[in-house]
Amino acid sequence: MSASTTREKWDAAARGFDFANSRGPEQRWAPVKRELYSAMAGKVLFLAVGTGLDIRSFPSGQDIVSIDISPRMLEKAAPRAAAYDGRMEPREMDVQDLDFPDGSFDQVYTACTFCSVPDPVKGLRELRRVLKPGGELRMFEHTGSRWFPFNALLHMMNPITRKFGPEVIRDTVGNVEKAGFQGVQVRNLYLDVVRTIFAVSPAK
Amino acid sequence: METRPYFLFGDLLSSALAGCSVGTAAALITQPGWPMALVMPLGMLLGMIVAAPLQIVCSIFFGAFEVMIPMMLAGMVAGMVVPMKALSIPLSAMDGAIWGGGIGIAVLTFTYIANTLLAGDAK
Repeated sequence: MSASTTREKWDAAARGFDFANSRGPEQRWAPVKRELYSAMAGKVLFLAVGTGLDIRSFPSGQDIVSIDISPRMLEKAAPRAAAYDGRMEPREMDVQDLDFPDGSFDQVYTACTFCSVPDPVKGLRELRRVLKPGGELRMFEHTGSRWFPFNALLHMMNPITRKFGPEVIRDTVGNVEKAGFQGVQVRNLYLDVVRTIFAVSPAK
Repeated sequence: METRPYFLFGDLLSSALAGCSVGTAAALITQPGWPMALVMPLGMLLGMIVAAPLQIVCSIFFGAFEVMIPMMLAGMVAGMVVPMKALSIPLSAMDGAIWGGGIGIAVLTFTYIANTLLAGDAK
């Protein structure tokens, strides 16, 4: 799937995104996200910001560049970004081709992002590139499961979910390792499907 | 482990609803004398088809994977078990709903146990 196809898919999803996600999914995971984001420090890259639902969970006073591939999503995120009590710079960008110099960020945060990046290892390598040596990658992601019957179920659902939004069988932990990150730590939040992943960009 | 009453109620309602809906549909559709080898996979397919739109509605209010996985599983299991039962004894729509609802709650219990075993530091 090309970047333009991904952009079109999420542009189409932008209209109903808040209706579908702002209650159940966001409220359910808001405490975990607040805890994850509470470690924000230094120059932070956040992706994919979507309609900005996560912004209310950010600690105030941070210096954050938030990117998304979808201009429609960013239009919806604009008021939330403007209301953030800190420095927030939303930008339209593809994680597979980041327009930042090497070593630009101290931390990168992702929230349900790498289910939708067409080439996740390429995207993660870009994140490693823009992180300073020793910089942190902190992710809130859903992945495939190793365990029956959940793995079989997710494989059955995937052909449908990938048409409208995310893939549900990604090995994001393995992809983080393939991209060259070190010190990978994983915490399962729901089964082995919803997880936080922590990793460090290696010293050069 | 989820402890907030709103989401616990939502999980229970969602799984029971998926099981009840699939159980009712399966009891109404299944006819005595149908071949068992056909009824099982078709029932599972019916379970997926009936549970899918319910998942979309319930996930808006109660969560994403935490709602969708038990609902889809409840739909598939109810879609297999209720028609099998209906082959041996005639089932009314209410019978199907009760069986399906029970299966939905049993599936939710299974996922809660699995979640307790899997949640936490994994690496």
